[in-house]
Amino acid sequence: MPRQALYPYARLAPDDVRWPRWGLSVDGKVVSFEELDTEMDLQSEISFSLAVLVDRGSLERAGYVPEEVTAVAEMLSPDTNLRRVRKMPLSFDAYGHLGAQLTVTAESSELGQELLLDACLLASGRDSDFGIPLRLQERRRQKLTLGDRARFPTVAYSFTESRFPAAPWYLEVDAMEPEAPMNVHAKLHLNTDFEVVEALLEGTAPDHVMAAMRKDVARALIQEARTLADEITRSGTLERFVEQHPDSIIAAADQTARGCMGNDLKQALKLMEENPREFELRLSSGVGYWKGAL
Amino acid sequence: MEERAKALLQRRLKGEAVETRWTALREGNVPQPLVVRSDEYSVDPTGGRSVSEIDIQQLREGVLADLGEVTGDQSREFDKRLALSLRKRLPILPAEAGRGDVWDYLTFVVFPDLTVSRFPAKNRDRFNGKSRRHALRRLWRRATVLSPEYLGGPSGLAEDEFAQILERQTTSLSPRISDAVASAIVSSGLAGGERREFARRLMKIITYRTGMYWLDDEDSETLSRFVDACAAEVTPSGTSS
Repeated sequence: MPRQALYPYARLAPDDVRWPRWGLSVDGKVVSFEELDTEMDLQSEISFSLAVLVDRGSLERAGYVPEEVTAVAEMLSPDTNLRRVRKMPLSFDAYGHLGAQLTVTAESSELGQELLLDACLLASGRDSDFGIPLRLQERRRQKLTLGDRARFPTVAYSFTESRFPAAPWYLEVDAMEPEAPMNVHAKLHLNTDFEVVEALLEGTAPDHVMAAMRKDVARALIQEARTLADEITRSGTLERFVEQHPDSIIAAADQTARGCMGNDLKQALKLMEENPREFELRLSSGVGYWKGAL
Repeated sequence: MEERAKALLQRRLKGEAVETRWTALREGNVPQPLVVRSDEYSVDPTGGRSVSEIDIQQLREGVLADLGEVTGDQSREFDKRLALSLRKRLPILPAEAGRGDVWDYLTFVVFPDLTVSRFPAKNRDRFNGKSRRHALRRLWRRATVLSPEYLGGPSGLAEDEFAQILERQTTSLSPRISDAVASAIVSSGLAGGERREFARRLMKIITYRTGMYWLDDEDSETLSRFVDACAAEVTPSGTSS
């Protein structure tokens, strides 16, 4: 097979373009990404904005005229087939900086639970390219999850009154088969006898308390997945199972292992079996257990 | 905007109710349509008019009328009619169409008989509202993205070809690109496995090319020329990039 150039034209190097963070506003009010869930409802209008800066010298050395380069921002919602695009030609600001300010807006009633934000710089396409714009540089895609997809039922009560052991929390999993959906078969129990739990419920708990809870929940979930995973590995691979059953306890454990430990579930289970000390160290480090607590 | 103004808030079936009905279906007991307790579902609490019993009943009756005598055994005609019917009769906000529990309600409460006539209660994905391959959700999506001519009949796509187009963001988020790809597949003159292979290779080439090109959804003619050029690169031996 003849060798083909991936990009048969001059592109910009990563250092030639500055992509700052996305800004966010809900109904015109600037909010942080963490506040998005609490600020929006089905009637809200959501805007994401971005200001890109481009090194003029690099652009010209690559053979492009600054004013003929366009910046693009895209908001994608795969669940609802939404693609919202905003294009803006580069221009010079009052200080001589070359760049563009982009804002892309949608109504929340148009958005699914997964939101993707893309941005790129484009050069006009040549005739040989059907006149389709060429990508000069892209910003790394940003993913957002809206709504309650990642949550599972939580109950808070006094463990003393229920004659349970005095732990601040525990994760109950009653799944009998690996396909069991996470949001039905897992429940987080919080013990209101503990002051830190009251703080958790009010959203004022210190970071190390949150980290301790995440660590316990992650460990419990991976432990539960160990028994259920035995059934799968006898008949197929964990990877395929996770792909086929994205809402299952196994998929949640896989996501947790990746998010907290940087390992997939298979690697996490192997580590738990063969080197439990290393497993604990990685889990503690991954959830930020030592940050702020020591 | 007009479509959105008419949209009603849909009911969302709770997880426990889904599990009960799924278990019943697997045991061969199809739940009786439209029978549900009020504590088994919820509706978005943030305002707007929610669907009423009458709305739901009319939706079911309308869909059944559109299907006529066609049953799930006649899968292609059934899928086409149901896709167009859902698109026409289901007044749903895109945000709600993106929710699994909304499709769970439609599957297990409104259309359990239709769903199970198309797919046996074996593959959970077909009955899991969050899955892109869900029996009803995938049809609504098809009719939202593609022109009606590609949903069935002489220019209709096959199941795998729908998946090729609708499970890739390059195409699924751009109706005009989707239509251009569907047109290239249909006009390839191929059939059966050869056409399926052609569609797969074509999508691979388009995906590869979009690493370099930024495709807009504005100019149908340009998109068609681009897709046709990609289609010309598809060779039976698979030597194309």
